[in-house]
Amino acid sequence: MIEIRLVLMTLLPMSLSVILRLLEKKTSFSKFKGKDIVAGLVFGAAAVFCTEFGVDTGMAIYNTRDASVICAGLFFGWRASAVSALIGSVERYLAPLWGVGIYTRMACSIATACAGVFTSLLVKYLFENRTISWIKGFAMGAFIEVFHMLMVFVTHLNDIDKAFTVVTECSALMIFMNATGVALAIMATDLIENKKIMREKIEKVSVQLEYGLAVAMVIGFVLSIRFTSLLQSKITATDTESLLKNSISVVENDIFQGKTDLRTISKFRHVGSTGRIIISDSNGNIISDIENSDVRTLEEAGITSFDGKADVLGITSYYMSGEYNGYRIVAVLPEKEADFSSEVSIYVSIFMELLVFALLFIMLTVLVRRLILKNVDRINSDLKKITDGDLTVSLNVKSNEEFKSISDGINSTVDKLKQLIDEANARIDKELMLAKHIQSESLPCVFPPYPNRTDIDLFADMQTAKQVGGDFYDFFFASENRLFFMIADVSGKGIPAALFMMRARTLIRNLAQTGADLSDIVNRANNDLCENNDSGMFVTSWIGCLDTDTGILSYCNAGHNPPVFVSGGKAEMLRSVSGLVLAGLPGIQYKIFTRQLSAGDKVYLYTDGITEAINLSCQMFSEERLESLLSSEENRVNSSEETCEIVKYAVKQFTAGEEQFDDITMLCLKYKGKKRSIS
Amino acid sequence: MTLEKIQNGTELTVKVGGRLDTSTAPQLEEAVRNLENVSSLTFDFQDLEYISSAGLRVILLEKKTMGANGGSFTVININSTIREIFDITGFSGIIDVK
Repeated sequence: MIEIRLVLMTLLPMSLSVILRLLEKKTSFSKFKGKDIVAGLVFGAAAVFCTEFGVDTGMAIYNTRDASVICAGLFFGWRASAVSALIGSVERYLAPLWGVGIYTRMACSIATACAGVFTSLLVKYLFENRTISWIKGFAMGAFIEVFHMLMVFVTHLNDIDKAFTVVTECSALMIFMNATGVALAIMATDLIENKKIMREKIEKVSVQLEYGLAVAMVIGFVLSIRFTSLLQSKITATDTESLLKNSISVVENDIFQGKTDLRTISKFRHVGSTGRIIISDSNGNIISDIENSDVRTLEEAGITSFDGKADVLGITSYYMSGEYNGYRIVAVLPEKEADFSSEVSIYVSIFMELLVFALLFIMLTVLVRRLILKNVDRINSDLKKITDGDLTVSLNVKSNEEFKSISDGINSTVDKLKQLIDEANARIDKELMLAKHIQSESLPCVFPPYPNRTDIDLFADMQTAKQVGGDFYDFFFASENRLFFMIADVSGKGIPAALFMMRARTLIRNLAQTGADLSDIVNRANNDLCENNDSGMFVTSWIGCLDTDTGILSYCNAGHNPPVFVSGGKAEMLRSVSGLVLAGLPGIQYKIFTRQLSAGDKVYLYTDGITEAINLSCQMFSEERLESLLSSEENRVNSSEETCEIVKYAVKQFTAGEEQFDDITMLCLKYKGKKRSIS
Repeated sequence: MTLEKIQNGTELTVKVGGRLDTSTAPQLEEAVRNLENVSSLTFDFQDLEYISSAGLRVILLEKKTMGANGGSFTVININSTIREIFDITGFSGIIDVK
């Protein structure tokens, strides 16, 4: 029965922790503001329960009061721990008033209070409200109980015998119960919270440090205890020897004075407090009386040699003999008494060293964390921001010389980096500007381009966006009456687009100069552009060929925005699609469309920079707006330049200063009828 | 732009949302680069609002890559705006659009 009660007592802190945790998880208890105080009260009640209903084995009352206080702190913060410790400690102090054991009153009361303080400090400053592993919980429980046992000694310095008996009796079990109680509580709550303890491949410095420290301290502890016990046994041996010698010489003196009845020597001469004197004749026949015993000779009493350790009269004892006047005087001291002081000091030093090493461990961990790891973490998080691209971050970890120099070093590196990036950007910007310039210069830009021709009126314009784009327009006469005019837009932006644009333009121009017809030109240009085009660039383009004698326009639309055809004041989108964009797939046969132009008809080409121009409310300019703009009555008589101007103006009005990211490119051709010779 | 890859055996569907333009197209290109054991690639444009020429370039590239490896390439759930762009650029003629 006692065993079951001991097990139940050990499980008490765990059960409470689990119940409260579940409450927190399933109900609105988690949102309750004073939940740590409530938890403190509950664990305080548990502490009272431990005091009142501890398991009494006759020698000591076993309980897990300290484990309850520790659990309160671990699961509900330092306030919970403080509240429960206060309740447990005060109640334990008052409990003798109604009959609970008075002997360990002070020790228990102080230990419980200290459990509260210790847990609160650890939770607040070392664990920083993170949950800890069960091993650490076990160590905490053990630590507090060791302290508890030490307190029993400290509060009974005048009565060390009894204190020692109590401690030797109950220390192991009490330490085990409390340590296990805390460890189980941590395991159980981890389990209900589904926390999987994953071990990282690379351990944190703090963990490595803890392992290292723990190993060093265990070694230190074992060595020093070994040394203490060796020393103590030497001292004990010396002390015992001198005690025995003294006792013998006292008895020799008694015999010398002759006033002693040797038969009753044991009545007035003792060795220590429980040892005795035995006197025999030279043959080993005992002269002095031994109460309640019929032992007659030294041999029968267990004394077989001059001195040593043996069962003397049934008690393990040290003994020593002296010979005087034909008597043999044997002083006997029970081992228990001889070793008592050394055992006490070994116990005390074990307890003390446990506490000292544990405190050292905690102090070192805290120091390393405060001085080094916190700073390292701060530097790391700042560095992460920097590597994520925020170069404005400046490190400010200056709590000591070493970290200050790291911070300063990183800051100046970042500054230098920023400077280099700025310089590189400036260089690239300059080169892009140059590229843009070359690109726009390469397009025909003198208007009117054919001042001597009365049959056509042509105007084109390109406004480049900030970036180098891939738009272009082009026009040229392949023969006296064959005018080619085109507009195109290369996919993407930047230098690659600009280079691809130049390639496409040169290619088409050269093919047209051979006198090939439009479909040949487009088909071959497409195949050529598809070769060695791993980057997958393409050109949307619209190419027209006007026979200025007949007014017949043939055109091909390779994936470009539909141009606007304006005839007699009416605008119409030329929506025929000839095929895929140029450079998309090889072998495509592009369809060619034709249309008869009359005098005054206009063809307006543009790129998506116009229809997709965006205003402040993110609307696009749109084809509809363009179509209605060009079908207006005023536009009927406009020249090609005027037509371009009204679109430019309308787009400018529409975007109202919003920055545009695309080139705005346009070309307008007005057919004025068959060429008349200038007379 | 948002990207979501759904692999089902050797079929890979990439859901693209938002704007697919010069600044975001490289992400999509990276997401479908060097596909191994994919016989069928699908771009789901359910939530795509805008596509620029840079986006079209990625589509063209995937069409060529998948075609060269004997796989299939499909674009699904395109809205009317993007359908229009596909029509204008002639993409409707070469890309399997559903």
